[in-house]
Amino acid sequence: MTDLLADLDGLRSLARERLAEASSAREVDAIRQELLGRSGRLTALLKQLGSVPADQRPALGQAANGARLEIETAIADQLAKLNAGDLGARLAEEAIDMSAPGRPLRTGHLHPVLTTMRDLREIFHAYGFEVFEGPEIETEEYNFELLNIPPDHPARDLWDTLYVAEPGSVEAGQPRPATDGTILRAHTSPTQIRAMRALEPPIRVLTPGRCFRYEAVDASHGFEFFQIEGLVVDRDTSLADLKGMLEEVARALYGRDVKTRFRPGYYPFTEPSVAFDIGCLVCGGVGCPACKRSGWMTILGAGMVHPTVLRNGGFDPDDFQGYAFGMGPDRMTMLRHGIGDIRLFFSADLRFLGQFAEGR
Amino acid sequence: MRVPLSWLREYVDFDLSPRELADELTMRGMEVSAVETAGSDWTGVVVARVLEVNRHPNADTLWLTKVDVGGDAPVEIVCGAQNLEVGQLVPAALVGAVLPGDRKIERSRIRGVVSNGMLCSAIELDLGTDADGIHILGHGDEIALGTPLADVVGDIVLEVDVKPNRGDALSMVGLAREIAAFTGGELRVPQVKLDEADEPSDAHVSVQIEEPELNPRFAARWFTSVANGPSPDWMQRRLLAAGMRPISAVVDVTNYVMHEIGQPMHAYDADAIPNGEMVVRRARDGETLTTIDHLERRLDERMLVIADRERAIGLAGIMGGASTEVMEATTSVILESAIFHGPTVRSTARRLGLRSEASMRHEKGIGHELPRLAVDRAAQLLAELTGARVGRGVVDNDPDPKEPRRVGVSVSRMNRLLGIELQAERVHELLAPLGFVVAGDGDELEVAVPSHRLDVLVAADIAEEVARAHGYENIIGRLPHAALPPYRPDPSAARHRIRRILAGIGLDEMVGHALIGADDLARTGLDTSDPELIRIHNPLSPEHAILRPSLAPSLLAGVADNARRRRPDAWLFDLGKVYWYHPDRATPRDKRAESSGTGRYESWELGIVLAGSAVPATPDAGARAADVATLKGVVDALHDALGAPRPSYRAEDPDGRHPHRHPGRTGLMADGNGRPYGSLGEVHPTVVEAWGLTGRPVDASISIDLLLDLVPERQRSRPISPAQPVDRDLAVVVDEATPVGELLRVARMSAGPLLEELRLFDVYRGEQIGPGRVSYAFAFRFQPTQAGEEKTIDKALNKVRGALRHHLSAEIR
Repeated sequence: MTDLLADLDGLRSLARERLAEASSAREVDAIRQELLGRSGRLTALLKQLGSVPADQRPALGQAANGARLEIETAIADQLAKLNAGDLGARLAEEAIDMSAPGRPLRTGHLHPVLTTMRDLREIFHAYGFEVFEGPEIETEEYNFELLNIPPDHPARDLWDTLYVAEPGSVEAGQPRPATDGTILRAHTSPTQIRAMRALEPPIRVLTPGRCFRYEAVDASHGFEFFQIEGLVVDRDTSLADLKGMLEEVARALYGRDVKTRFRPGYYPFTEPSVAFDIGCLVCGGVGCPACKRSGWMTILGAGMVHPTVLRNGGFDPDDFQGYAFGMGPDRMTMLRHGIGDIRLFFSADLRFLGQFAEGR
Repeated sequence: MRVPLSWLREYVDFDLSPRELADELTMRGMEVSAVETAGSDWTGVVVARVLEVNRHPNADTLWLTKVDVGGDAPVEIVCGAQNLEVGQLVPAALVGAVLPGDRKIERSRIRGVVSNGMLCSAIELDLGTDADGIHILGHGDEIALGTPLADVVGDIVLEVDVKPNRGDALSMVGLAREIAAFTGGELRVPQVKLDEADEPSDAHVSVQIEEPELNPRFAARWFTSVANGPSPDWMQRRLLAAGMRPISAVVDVTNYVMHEIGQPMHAYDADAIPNGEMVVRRARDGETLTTIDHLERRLDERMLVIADRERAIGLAGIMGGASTEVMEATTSVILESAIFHGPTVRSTARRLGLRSEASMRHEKGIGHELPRLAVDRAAQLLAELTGARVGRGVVDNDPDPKEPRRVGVSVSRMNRLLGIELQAERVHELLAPLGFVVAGDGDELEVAVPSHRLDVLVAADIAEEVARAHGYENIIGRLPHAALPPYRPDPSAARHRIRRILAGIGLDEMVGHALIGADDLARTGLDTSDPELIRIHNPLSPEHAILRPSLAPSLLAGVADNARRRRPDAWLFDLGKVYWYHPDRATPRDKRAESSGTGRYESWELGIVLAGSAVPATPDAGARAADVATLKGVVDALHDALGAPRPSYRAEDPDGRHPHRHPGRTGLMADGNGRPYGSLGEVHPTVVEAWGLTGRPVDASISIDLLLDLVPERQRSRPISPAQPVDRDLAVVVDEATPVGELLRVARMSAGPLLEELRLFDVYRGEQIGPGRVSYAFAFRFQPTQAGEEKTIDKALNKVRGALRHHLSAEIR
């Protein structure tokens, strides 16, 4: 019996020695076969158990099982050790240059003026304004007459108009303005009339869109530009409401601390009329070339809808009143991003267009 | 209007700095756009007398002058102006002087002759806009030679932008009235005292007005014994500071009175008008008039003229004629002080390109009482300055004062409009200094409007006056607290979503001009004589004369633009309108479009152009230029992101192809019912060349309205199936002529509701299947709703096989 115990001890130490030397999973497997396999050494030893006196068998059996467990544990340990080593080597081999640039994905950019228009729309949404759009090809009636600007009114000089040609007259070499008075709208204000005629009060609409003027192109003027018009018609919205609204919008656009100035202006379709200024964003109000040394920048024209315009829109000016305002998103975008030339807005230059990210 | 403060102070006192005054005026609606100190923007400019004017020895258009600047010796200066005469006083910028714009004057050699400085025009000194001649300061001894110019014309000048409806404020007195109103100061209107001679004016002047509505008032005076010459220095200085060039005492008086009280006037040489008989009539078609600028003007019957019995002698309200011009030797003068029809003056001035200080005031309107005051004031000055004897009485067609206009105002209604709380008494206090007379003390007031306020017609106008006087700054802004309208969907929201999706896919947004040129159309292979094109009557240039019928030209121009800047890779989109004319019956397309009812339509469209590769080459991947398949990928992704079903693509019919595309590579996008709503393809090689491009750009256009129709209003979620998806492949062989899109469409339609995804994964042509044949392999992914639906899937696949065989003669492999 002692022989058998000694043999088991020997097997244990043999296993330890051999495993310590094993350098691969395959070698470990061979050791397992040799020691624990069906025809391995432990099996051979166990076969001798039959010749041992019966009273000693339990103790010996226990010892044999102990040895098997111990060897199996040692095998598992060694395998784990070897695996860890393999993976480490593999990972070490797989290192890449982490300073290398990424594989590019294309990112697109939105046009800055349309982003300003989208933002304005969101700000005004918060105050209950709905978007209402009108056609760009308008009639003189809507662009002028219905807005209290009769023909030959001196204020027509404020809107140099592009006239649509009478069909066929250009091709015939005799361009004539269309006899039905079709023009390209010079401002978004004609939409005031369209909104009043289409909607029931209370009316609170925002009308963004493209406008056209016969105007020579330079860094701050173009013959195409965008405008956003606002219109409110109900029974008691007053000049004081207009002032509060504009101050609120200025704060939303230019920050809580923006300085504002609400002063008389002139438009034939509003009475009283308003010009709305903010403290110069360039110099902060001290005076600089950008604000012509006044410290103020005019961002908006507004006023109470003229009684004649209300009447043309189908409302009795004794009962109904409201305000209208118009803004230039092009100019506001120039202020916002420090853009010096309005012509860039109609260029496809990716060096320009690619500068405008979504932002915060 | 240029307003010298020293002149303004003659009519009102104020205790404000120029900047404060400017701010106050701006806050009262008289916007001050600049506060200038005339004479502060230059140094080294002195008053000089012209001693000699000789031709430059080497240049026909230049003069060699000698001027006396009060120094020991005359200074030689080369000058190009044509208005120099010996004896004139002129501004001379000597060597070392600095002019506005930091322009330094140095001794220079001009065509071989040394010039020791420069004689200056008004524009060079920022004294006015006149660039034509040297700014003449005078002719006599009134200014010491060598006096710094700043001492002569130096003054603080406000540039006031008077609104078109406030013609009454276009004068010193008009502005002084506003200032007096807000400062509480006193307005000093010039008091006229006249010593009239016995000789009556009406013995020497008669005025016949053919159409009184074009000339409601004409007041004239007759003068004799006029000794015309330069006007006195104080008057010249004021006129200079206000931006007018002094001419002679008589003319200067008319300009002075115009600036002082706002009435444009004209002085005629009475001896040049036979019997002083004047007629105000329409010009005859083809009639000509030489105006005092010595240009012959061709007139027509839309224009109003002053005439003698035979011919026109002046353009009413705009400019006088040369034949009756007042000269140095003139001794008898007729002064005209009239009101002419504003729109007529305006259109005449525009047509002749002759807008002047006078025409501008007529356009804006002149109060009925002003002509009489002005002609008397001018008479007083003429008598004082030229020794003129003033004819007795005024020839005046409508001498009686008019009843003031009365406007009824409800105080409560006005308070509701303005959002303030004023009592009737306060309204009275606010309006009185502006010349309004308020009657009544309850809610209903009657306001008499002063005759010069042509702009005040209705209660809202009175409300504006009250608001201005109360101060816009004193209106307390009310935070938004509105009655809100019912919700209406925002028509622009979907367009903003599409824009964001496309930018997310990697496209850059551009905004092209709606107005394009015939060249753009021609370059894009489009018909430039299409009767549906909308053309502009008065385009700024031929490049912007037509409303675009398609977004393709500006997108291609955009690509070309970038290619020229060495950025050949551009993936662009533009979401804008296209326009067309269709006068007769409205087509379905017209009905969807927006229109103001003139037969002209406009509709939102999405244009896409892809040129080159989305991303540059990397070490492990080459750059892959966009092709039609890439474009379809972009279009499909847009549909996926919007939630619209992807379109089916099919080749365009030969007779309806887009001419700017490769005829074999242009196709339509169609919805589930086969209705097209967009098109796409490769740009035609000749169009590519015409735009100066290289490569093979592809482009698409999609109707936004029709695309959005495809997006379901609601997105319903589907339950997630517990079963595993089932993948099946199917290969078919068909004739080359069979469009693969048809195979996909038929397969999709016959595969039943369990089909989740269908993908083409292999294309094979070769000997095994024979010439003219092609094999396509499709991967189907079915999603059973529960386990054990394999049978249903097998049946579905059999249906697909049958349908492909039956409809497209496909051979199943």
